[in-house]
Amino acid sequence: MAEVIEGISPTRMELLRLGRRIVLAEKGHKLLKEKRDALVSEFLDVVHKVHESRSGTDEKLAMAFRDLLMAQAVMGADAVRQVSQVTGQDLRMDLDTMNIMGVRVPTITLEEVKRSMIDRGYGFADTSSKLDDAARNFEESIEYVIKLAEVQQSVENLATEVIKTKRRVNALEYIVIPRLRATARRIRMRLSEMERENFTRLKKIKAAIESGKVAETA
Amino acid sequence: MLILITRHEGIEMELESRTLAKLMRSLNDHLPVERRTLGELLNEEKPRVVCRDGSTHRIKTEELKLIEGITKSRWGKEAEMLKLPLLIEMAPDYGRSAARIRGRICCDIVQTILQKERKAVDEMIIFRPDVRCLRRELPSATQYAFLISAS
Repeated sequence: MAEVIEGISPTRMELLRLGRRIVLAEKGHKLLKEKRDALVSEFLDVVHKVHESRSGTDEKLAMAFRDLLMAQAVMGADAVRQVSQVTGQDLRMDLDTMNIMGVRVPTITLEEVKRSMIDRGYGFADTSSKLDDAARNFEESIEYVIKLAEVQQSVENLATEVIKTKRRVNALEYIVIPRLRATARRIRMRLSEMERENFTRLKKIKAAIESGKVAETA
Repeated sequence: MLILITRHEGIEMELESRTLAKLMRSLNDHLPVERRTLGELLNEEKPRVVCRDGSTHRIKTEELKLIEGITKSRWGKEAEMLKLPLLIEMAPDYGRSAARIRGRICCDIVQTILQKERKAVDEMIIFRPDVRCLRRELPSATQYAFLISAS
């Protein structure tokens, strides 16, 4: 049984006012429920994307590290380190935001990161082909890592908003609306009680007047 | 006394409609201040719209090209006047989780993506699985709008 809102006088005016507040709260509740449902479906889609991105990233990085290990085995760790110091690359990306129902999620557009063997800047003669494979796989994995960062951040932002909206929906559903209804019910009961009281009082007055008249005539 | 009550009620109703309006505003804060045409957006390097809450909403070029591909053959130049992002109108009046798409070109795009029949020329009612499918195809070129009837 929901609590009754204290301090509301049992009048018809208050009953009307409560009726309007109930309608308003119900409308708000329905809309927020729609928002919550939409947010949850967005959230599930992004979670699916996170899984896909994560498995893609893991796979690509595993391949890259395997090739790197092979290159180190063939060329020696120092030689590989030297080659890595020769090559360098600036990552150019475009950061922006998307607004999903008030949730700002990042969108990252990465410019081409894959390079040809010549662009990498190290010689072919004294390097292993495994090093080329490792470089290519690492370049490809950057795209996956960036995508993963984007969707991971989106999941976090969406989750926060889902929790917030859910709390508002639940507050309306389980506290505000039941309290308003309980208060309206209490006022209705009080009003009908007052009506009955009045009726009985009038009956008694009438009976008293009639008995007074009888006494007068006697 | 009667006049006083009516005035008081009027203020009360105004307050309540203001509260509802505030809720609606907060729910639709992510909508763009002004929707932009497909032609305009396609000509930009970074296509984006400014939202009511001051943030920017980037629309992906791939999605714009997909929309152009769907609409160009049938609507020609008219397709360039299509306002984006497309609005998925959610209103409790249509039933829970039902959404409305308005506009002939918008309906054409949705119909092509969802591969669904439509009953009216310029209006389409779609349900949650279709909305999800549509959002998966066009995550940045569509946006939810929350509506409520005036009654």
